[in-house]
Parts: sequence; C-alpha cells; structure tokens
Amino acid sequence: MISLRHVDRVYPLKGGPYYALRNINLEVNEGDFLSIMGPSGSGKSTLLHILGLHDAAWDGEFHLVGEPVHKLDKKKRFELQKKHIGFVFQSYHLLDDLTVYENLEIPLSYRDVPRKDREGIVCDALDRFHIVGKKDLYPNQLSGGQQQLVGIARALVAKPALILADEPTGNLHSDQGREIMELFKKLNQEDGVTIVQVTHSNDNAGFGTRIVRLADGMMLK
Amino acid sequence: MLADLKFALRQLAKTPGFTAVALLTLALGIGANTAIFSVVKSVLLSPLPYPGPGRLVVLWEDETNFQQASIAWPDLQDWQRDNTAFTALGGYRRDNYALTGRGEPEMLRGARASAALFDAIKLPPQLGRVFTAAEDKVGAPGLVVLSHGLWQRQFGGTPDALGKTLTLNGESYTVIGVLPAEFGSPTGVDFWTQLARGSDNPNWQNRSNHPGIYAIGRMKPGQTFATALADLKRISARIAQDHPDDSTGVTASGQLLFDSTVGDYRRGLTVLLGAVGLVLLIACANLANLLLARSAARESEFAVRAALGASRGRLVRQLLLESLVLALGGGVLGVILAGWARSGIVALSPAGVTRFQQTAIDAPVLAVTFGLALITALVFGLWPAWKAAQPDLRSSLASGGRTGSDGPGATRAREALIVAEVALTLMLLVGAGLLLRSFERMQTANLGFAAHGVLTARLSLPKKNYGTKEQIDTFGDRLLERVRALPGVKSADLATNSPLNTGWQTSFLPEGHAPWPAGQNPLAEMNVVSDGYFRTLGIPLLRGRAFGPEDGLKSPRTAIIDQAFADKFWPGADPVGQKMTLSGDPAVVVGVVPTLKVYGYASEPKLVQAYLAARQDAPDDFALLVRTDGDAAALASSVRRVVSEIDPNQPVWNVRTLDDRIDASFSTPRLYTFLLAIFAGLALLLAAVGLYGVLAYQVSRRTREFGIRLALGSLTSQITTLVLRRGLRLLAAGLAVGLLGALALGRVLGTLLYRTSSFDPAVVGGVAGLLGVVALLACWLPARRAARVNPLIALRAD
Ligand SMILES: Nc1ncnc2c1ncn2[C@@H]1O[C@H](COP(=O)(O)OP(=O)(O)OP(=O)(O)O)[C@@H](O)[C@H]1O
Ligand SMILES: [Mg+2]
Repeated sequence: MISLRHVDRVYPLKGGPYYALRNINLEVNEGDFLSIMGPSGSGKSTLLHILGLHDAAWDGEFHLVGEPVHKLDKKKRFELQKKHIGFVFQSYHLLDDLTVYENLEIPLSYRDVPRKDREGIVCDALDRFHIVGKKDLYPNQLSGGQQQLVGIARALVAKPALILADEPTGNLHSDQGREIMELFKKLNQEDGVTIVQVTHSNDNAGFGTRIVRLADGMMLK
Repeated sequence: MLADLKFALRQLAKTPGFTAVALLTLALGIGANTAIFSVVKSVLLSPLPYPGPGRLVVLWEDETNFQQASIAWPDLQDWQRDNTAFTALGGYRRDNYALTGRGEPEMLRGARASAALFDAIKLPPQLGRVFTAAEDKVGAPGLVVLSHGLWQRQFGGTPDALGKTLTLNGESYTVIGVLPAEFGSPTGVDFWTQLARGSDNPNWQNRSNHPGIYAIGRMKPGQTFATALADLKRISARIAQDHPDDSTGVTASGQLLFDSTVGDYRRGLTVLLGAVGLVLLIACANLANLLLARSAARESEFAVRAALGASRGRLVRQLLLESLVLALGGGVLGVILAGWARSGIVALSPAGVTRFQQTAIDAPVLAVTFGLALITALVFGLWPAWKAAQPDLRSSLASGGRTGSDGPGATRAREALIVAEVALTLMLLVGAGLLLRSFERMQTANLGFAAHGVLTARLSLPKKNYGTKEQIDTFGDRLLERVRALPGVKSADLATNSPLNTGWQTSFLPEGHAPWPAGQNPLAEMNVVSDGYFRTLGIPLLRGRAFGPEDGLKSPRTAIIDQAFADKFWPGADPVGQKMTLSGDPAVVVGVVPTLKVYGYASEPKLVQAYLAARQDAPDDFALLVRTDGDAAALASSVRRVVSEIDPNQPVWNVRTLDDRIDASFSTPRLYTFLLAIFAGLALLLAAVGLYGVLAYQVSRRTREFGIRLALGSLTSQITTLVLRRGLRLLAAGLAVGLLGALALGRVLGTLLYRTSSFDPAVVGGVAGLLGVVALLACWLPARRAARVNPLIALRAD
C-alpha cells in the first residue's frame, strides 16, 4: 500500500538545512494497522502529512497503492488523495461554520456522491459514533472529545482504504479513546482498511499490528 | 450547488458588518451606473422613433461668414427639384401664431412645412391625414396638422377635432390630422401648416435672404451622408455660378438628424458614463480588498476543505458564489437607488428635451445592470477566490489556522489596489473640481447687461389687426405707458430681441469702405429697440447718445453700434457721426455701447452688433423688458393683465425673468457639474473606506507584533508613525499616478469647460489637498488603534 524509500524532509532554515525527516524507509501493507510513536518534535506529524499528500516538498521515492507519488503532478496526487485517504487531524479542523451533519456531508459532496445517497451514509456515521443528537450543532457547541469524534467520522464517511490519524484520541476520555481504537481495529479487521496512526500511548499502539518509532527525524530499527 | 448557496448566505449573514459595507458599496457603484446608463440609453442610444431613422438628415446653408444659416427659399426649391440623393426633402420654418377664439388667447409654436417633410419622416398621422404637395401652394386654404400635445390640450384627444377650424393670427385654418406623440422633428412644435402657401412674400424670392427655413431629407438607399451632401453641394455650386451676387460662398450643409438631436449631450454624458465607470472600478477594488482580507482570515477553512477533497475549482466556485450573491444583492439595491437618481436627473435635465424626460429604468437597462453586477462579481471576486483556493495545506493545517500571516504578495496586491483607488479618485475629483470652477465662472460671467430685476415677455402682433406702423406704435405706446405705471416698475422698453434671443443678422458697408467681394460681406447682429432699452438693461453708453424723439420718421436713420464694431471699422476715430449702409439703407452712427454676450455665457459674440430705433422701424414681433425694483417674477400677472386690457385677443408668452432665462441656459452644465461632483464625492468616500479598511486590517493582523513592540518598550507614537507612514506612502503613490490621469482627463473634458484650463493649478492643488486630508483621517484612525494595543491581551491571544 505504502512504500517510502530514502525520504527526506528538509526545512531550509537560516542556520542551515534542518532535517525534520531523514532517510525514511517504510513499508505499509494493505491491512496493516501501524502506529507511529516518538517524542514531541521527532517528525511524526511531518511524516503523516507526507503520507496524506498534504506536503510535496520532500525528496525520495513514495509509492502509494502502486502509484509513484514522486512522479505524479499536483492534480494526480490530488486525485489519489481524494480516492484513497481519510485524514484525522491532530487539532480536529472541523469547519466552524458548518453543522455536524454538514461537516460529515462535505467529503461526500466533494466526491460527487448523489444527494439522495448522502443522507443515508451520513446518518449511518452519526449512528455509529452516537452523535445523532448533535447533528444540528456547530463545532463550538461540542466538547473537545465530541469534536474529535466528528473529525474521525468525517475521515471515515467516504470509505477510504487508508486512514491517517494524527493522535486521534489525544483529547478523548480514556473510555472514549478505547472505543475509537476498537472501532479502528474493527475497520481494520473486518473491512480491511489500512490505518496509520500517530500516538503517544502504548495502550493505543497495542491495538495496532505494528509500531515504528521516530527520533530526531530518523526511524529507529 | 444549493448547499453551496445556503452556505454562502450563512457566511454573509455571519458577518453583517462586512456584508452591509459590501452591499452598500456595490449598490452605490451599480446604482450610479444604472442611472447614468438609463439616461445615456434614452438620450444617446435610442434611435429616432421614425422608420429608417439613420437615413434622415437635417439641412441648412453655410455662408462664408455665417455657419448654419437658414436656406434661401429659391435654393430650397432647386434642391427639391434637382437632387438625386433624397427620396423626399422638405423645408420647415418655425413661426409663432396667436390662437384666438378658444378662451384665453394663446401663443402657439407652429411649423410651416413642405408636404415632403412628412414623406421624409415617414411617420403616419395617428388621426386624419397630412396635407399634400398640391395643397401646399399660394392661394390654397389654410390647413393644420395638430401635434399630439395640442390635440390633447385643445380638443381633449377626441376625433371630433378633425374638420374644426382654428383662428391663428386672425386667419382661419382647418384641422385635417393629428400626428403621433413621437413625431418630434422639428422639436417643440404645436402644429404644422403649409410652407409654400406663404411663399409669395417678396423677401422670399431674394436668394440673398435666408428666411429661417431649414430642411429635413430622407436619403435614398445606397446613399451615405457624404454622397447625399455632395449631391446638394453640386446644386449649390451651380446656383452660385448662376447668381454670383446673391449666392457666392453659400453652400449646402447639414448633419444626420440623429446627431443634431443628441449632439449637444454626447460629450457630457459620455464623460459622466466614464465617471460612474470609475466609481464602479473603485467599488470593485474596495470589495476585492475586503474579500482578500476575509479569505485570509478563512485560510484554514479552505485548507481543511482541500484536505477533505475539494478541488480548486470547487473552492473558487464556493467563493464566487458568495461574490455573486453580494453582487446581485448590490444590483437590486442599486436599481432602487437608480430609480431615485433617475427622477433627480430628469428634474435637473434641460427642460423640453424629451429624450431626457423619457429616461426609464426599463428591461434593457435592467439587463445591463445585472450584466454589470455579474461582471462586477467576477472582477472583485475572482482574484481573491483564486488566491484563497490554493492554500498551503501543510502550513495552514499545522498552524491551526489561528495566526496565519499574509505573504508579501498579498500585501502588495492589497496596496496596489489602494494606490489605484486613490489615483482614480483624484482623477474624478479633479474633473469635478474643474467643472465646478468652470460653472462658477459661467455664473459670474459678465454678459454686458444687468439681468437682475428684469422681467421679459414676448408678443407678436398679427398683421391682420396691426398692418400699419401707426397701429403698431399705438399698441406699443399704450403697452409701455401702462406697464410703466404699474407699482414697482422702474422702466419698460421694447426690443425685437432680448439678450439670449438673437434672430436677425444683416449686411452693412461703412461709408468709404470698398465694396465687399461677392460672398464675403460680414454680418451684423441686429436689434431694433425703443428709446430706454439700454437704461432698462443697465447697459452704459460709451459714446454719443441713446435713441430719442429726435429719431423720427422724417429724420435721418440712426444706428447705435457696439464697441467691437467701432474698433473694427473706425479704429482711433470717433465713430459718432460716421455713415454706413445698414441692411440696404443709409444710417448714421449716434452712439456706442459695449459688446453684449448675446448668445449667453458660452460663446463669444462673433458678429459685430448694431441697433436701430423702434421709432424709425415698426417691429410687430418683439420682447417687452420691464425693470423693477422688487421681485420681477411677481409682476408677470400684471403684465398679462395689461396686455389683455389693451387687446383681449393678443397673447403674450414666455413671461419670465431674465435671471430665469440665463439660469435655464446653465441647466445642462449644472446637470453635468452636479452629477460629477456627486460621483467624485462617492469616489472619495469609497477610497477613504478602502484605505481605512486596508490599514485597519494590517493593524489587526499585526496586533501581536505591536503588543510585543510595546512590551519591549516602544513608544506609542512610534507605533502610530509606523502605521501612518505606510498609509502615507500609498497616498503619495496614488496621488502621483492620479495626477497623470488627471492630465488626460482634462483633455477629455475639453469643451465642457468654460474659461478654465484643463489643468487649473488651484483646482488640482485644492482637490489633492482635500483627498490628502480625508486620506490622512482614514490612516489616522487605525494608527491610533494600533497605538492602543494592550500588550498583555495581545500576547495572551496567541
Ligand atoms: N515549517 C517548519 N519550518 C521549520 N521547521 C519545522 C516546520 N514544521 C515543523 N518543523 C520542525 O520539524 C520537526 C518535526 O515536527 P512535527 O510537527 O513533525 O513533530 P511531531 O513529532 O508531530 O511532534 P508532536 O508530538 O509535538 O506533535 C520539529 O522539530 C519542528 O520544529
Ligand atoms: Mg504532531
């Protein structure tokens, strides 16, 4: 599914180039549930944004579902992203001006899902995360945990084959966190969804099938 | 799409301040454009309401020393007979007729016309018929075709009017038809009657006499204006060859009827259209700025949307939809404003120009308005949308969308818009300033006479009752005697022409001067006046004497000339006592007066001026001039009463103060000046709002920076200077660019300006100063706010 070869991410700073990531080699197979761990500032989010195709300024080779991302132009990358990836942000990034329902509907509308089908899909998602009662509220009327639930639901709603999650449970009550992890596990095992998550918690990492560790932008073997 | 629309509306509702400013800006810009466009459409773009209007021309004769003279009657007949370029060519002459026998005597504006005039214009009568060529000859019974207006007024618009008789100048005429309301060539006519029927007038047989006849012709298909005119010029050349004494230097000339109808207004209205276009551009620049700022604040929203799979087109569409909603809302408000503005413009527009009065906000105008709104939405919306739709995902997502700062590109773009706004505003202000200065000079122009306190009225004595000099004099003497006896009247006099109402030009030859070469004889602007005319109008006698009882019928014919006449023909000598031939008869100069601006403020008198004594002439068509020491207008009804006491069948019309008539000659420049001043004011307001907006936005973005600076010990005055300096730099750049634009604009205004240079330093300096002060204020407000940043709060917000 994912294959990184010699990937570097360099920030050209005043004092000289700063390597946020250095010589990353990573294979993620279809059906993997990978956890990325490491201290703060070690490059976890940087890596995830590269995998999520938000960032293009890296060097090296990157194959995603067999496509050589390093050779693709902006448009092709965008298509790839739209087709395969669901992203859960570290700081939710819900759209403040849309209701919960509308936030969930957005990825579907961008993927040209017919209007009549959207309602069913969104309602399923609301159900699954037990937030039906919140569907008409705006993000600022939700707690942090509820916002993260919506963020996760939004990443899943378009049924991506790959979920990238940056500390998905960081703001959640531990019970809620466990529930999310159970859900990820279920998606991974029953639906074959590939998951890459960043986490600080060993418990959470335990739900996954593999762990890679980063330190100072390098992968520890 | 519907969801996008809903979202767009919600976004706009969420920021009512922004939405209100944007809607108002657009409404002002679009409203001004709609109003002016509706006027332009009605006045400049609507074709004449006749079939094949582009083939109609109006014709006259040019003489060597006098352009646009009327056509000699024999010349007109030669044109009609010999031309090959016109399907129909008919003459007309305006004449006033006293209508009696139907209640109050009324003065009607008639046109004596060839039957061919109706063939040329080709608009059929709405009732009855027009007269034929066979009916248009000497000895035929008098027939009239009513204008729609007169038909309504005198006959209540009923078909019974046909066959009725009207007594006009004491003669009876039969009504045979009614023309539709659109029939307006020549303009302002109450009825039409036969032209050739009165052609036995001996003066008309003389080719050197140009008796007020003009013509309208319809060109044959395939003819252009140039070829048609060449055809007539060929005839003119032949006439000049056959009659060298009378017709040398006389040639056919003319203009498309459409151009002659709208020509006067083209430049002014085009300038106004350009001005409102600039106002709209400024409005667009303001909105683009507002939207750029707004989309910068929404950067993270767009980044998240892009990460969720929104394509760039999709984001652009979303933002454009918001612009579109704004533009359409602004358009609707603009149409409402334009409706009000239209009534104002029509009220201010020159009286009697129906094309102005017909201005309407109709379907084509609305189409243009909303087309304009759409274009506006693209102009102000596309660029900000395009910029906003390519967010840098990584950085805006990482920063959480809370602090994002503008790149130097965005700042430069916003500042460039402001420079452009300031420049455009300066141009409009200079334009308005120049027109105001020119208008002021017009109003204070010395016309050569004292108009204030003078009432004028016009009378035309019908030949039937007033055929002899004695009858005319008796009427005149009684009229003056009674008017002078009215309370408040200081003096009263008669003249064939009151100022601003010229009419008679004639040739002359000073004694001892070599005869003029054929076709080269200069003309004098003539007036026949009663004894006290100069005193009544406050015109000083420079030399010699005024007319008096000594200028009787038995005494030698006397003339008074203007200073220009004296300077030209008797330079250095005393003109008093000099002799000349004036209008065919000898005359001796007895006095000299200053040159009057007889055409009003706008044009310098081109001809020398001469006066004859009413005592030695018998003017049956004249103006009554009454000087009062009180309110001249209040005297109007007394004057009417005096006339009807002397002769109940004698109409008197055009009873107006001289002030009022001078004022009416300002109506067009007043309209232009007033409107341009309003538009310039709008531009100033918008530019100030724009400048304020950009600086305020920069200040709000730099709150943290200012907080830190203050926390580190910066003086508040240093912060203020920081912001002010930025604003002043923009202002200076805008003024520099605007000055160049103003130079170009002055050239465009050109002929609209009266005695005002198109780069009047006082005007340019004045408006630049005004703009500077307003702009400084607009900069100072955000600067003051920057200095009041509370460092604690500013830093904690991070
Ligand atoms: N735009 C940037 N310019 C320079 N350096 C950057 C930039 N963005 C990130 N970095 C650096 O890259 C390194 C990795 O950052 P990253 O956000 O990936 O850390 P992280 O492992 O996700 O940390 P955390 O657990 O705190 O979220 C950090 O040292 C950070 O300072
Ligand atoms: Mg991180």
